[in-house]
Amino acid sequence: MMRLPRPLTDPLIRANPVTLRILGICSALAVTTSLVTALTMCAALIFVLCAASGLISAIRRHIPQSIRLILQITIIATLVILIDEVLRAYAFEISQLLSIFVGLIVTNCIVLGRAESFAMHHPVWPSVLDGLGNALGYSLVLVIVATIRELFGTGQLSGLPVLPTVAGGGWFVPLGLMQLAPSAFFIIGLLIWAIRAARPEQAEHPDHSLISLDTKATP
Amino acid sequence: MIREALLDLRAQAAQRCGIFRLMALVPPALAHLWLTGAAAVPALLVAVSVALSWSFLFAELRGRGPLLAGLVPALLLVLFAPPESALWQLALALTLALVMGELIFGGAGFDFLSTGALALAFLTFSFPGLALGAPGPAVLWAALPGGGLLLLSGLAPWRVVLAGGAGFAGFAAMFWSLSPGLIGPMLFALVFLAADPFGAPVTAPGHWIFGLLVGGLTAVLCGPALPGLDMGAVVFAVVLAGIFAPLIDASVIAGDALRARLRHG
Repeated sequence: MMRLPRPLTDPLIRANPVTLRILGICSALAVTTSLVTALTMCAALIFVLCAASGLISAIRRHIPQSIRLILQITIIATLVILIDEVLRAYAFEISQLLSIFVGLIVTNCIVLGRAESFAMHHPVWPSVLDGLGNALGYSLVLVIVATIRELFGTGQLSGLPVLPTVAGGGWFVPLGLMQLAPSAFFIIGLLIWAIRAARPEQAEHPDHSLISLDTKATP
Repeated sequence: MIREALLDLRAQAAQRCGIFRLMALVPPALAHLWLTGAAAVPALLVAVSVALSWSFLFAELRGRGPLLAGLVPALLLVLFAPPESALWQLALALTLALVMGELIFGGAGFDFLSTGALALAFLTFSFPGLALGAPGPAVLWAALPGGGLLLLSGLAPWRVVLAGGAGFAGFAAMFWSLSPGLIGPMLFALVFLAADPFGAPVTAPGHWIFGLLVGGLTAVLCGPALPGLDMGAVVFAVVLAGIFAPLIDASVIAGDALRARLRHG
């Protein structure tokens, strides 16, 4: 079996941009109330991240060091405007649901982070693969969070009823909490916990340590 | 003489925090059980067994206690939860609060929010139809000795309770209306939910600020519903103020350090 290239597979779980670097949290909270919006957001990010990484990598030897961030942001913003216009033209309802969050991909730290740390130093094809890998890693987290939040918050998945709710004569009581932003924090936190439990090398060193309770405090 | 006894009590309470808080909660829980009869037994059993299972599981994982502290939010949940809440709803709310709010930080004493208030908040936010009930007079009277014990032993900071009552009464009287019937439930909520030994700040000025915040927020959140007390508003005020507790402490300590530097050069 052909092994997939490392820049593509590494960011899926081991170096996942959301769970390891804690980037892109803002949109992960905002668009994960339903699966449809999350998937649209993922598609938009996959396009922007791949195209931005490829473009920036292609012109990396021509970018002056002192204005590289401005150039990177300009390229990213152009791509984001492009995808935003496409969404408004062909998927107006979803673009209304996503409101400003497609536009905010410009400020998504994953995009600029990959451009600055990877695409500026690697050829085009590995850069595109790295962008795709990171976008897929982000998408994986978004899809997991959105599935849990929509399923347990409304009993539906991408608008289709899965668990019969009490209101519709079934047995499932929707958890209102799941539709609120804190639940996304909890789910991402639990994901990070699970990944770091499986890969202890990712766990951060504790800031504080316990003092033994057995020693009686001297008066 | 009295002073020494008080200091001894405080030293004891600091060592056996979980037992003291449980002792304070047992009389109101018994009164609740006596009033509600057999209907309250399943909820109590579920809450206690859920709390104990998670505590044991995490004690096993981490190789250490404390075990009894998890029963405090369990009893508080039983006391405040509306009678129509299903058993699995109680179990879910308690599980979320206990695991996410306390045990993953390392257990009672390492958490930063009042776990009892958190459990009630999870219950109301997850199931918006459920309205938390204020405990009845019999439960409130039964809670009096325990509340006194908590206040005397310093586990419930008295400044928080005083400032909370004053803040609530001030705000409520200024903008809405107040009734003496609120004293009991409000005091109970302040002592057992707001004046949490781990959720509240640890500095004395921090206690005053935190109490005023809880009381003021409660009045604002209850709003026009006053003089009817909405327990959901109390719980939300406690959780919201609890988030600011570390910041309040840090500001008080920074202010002290600044004053000391100005004075001593």
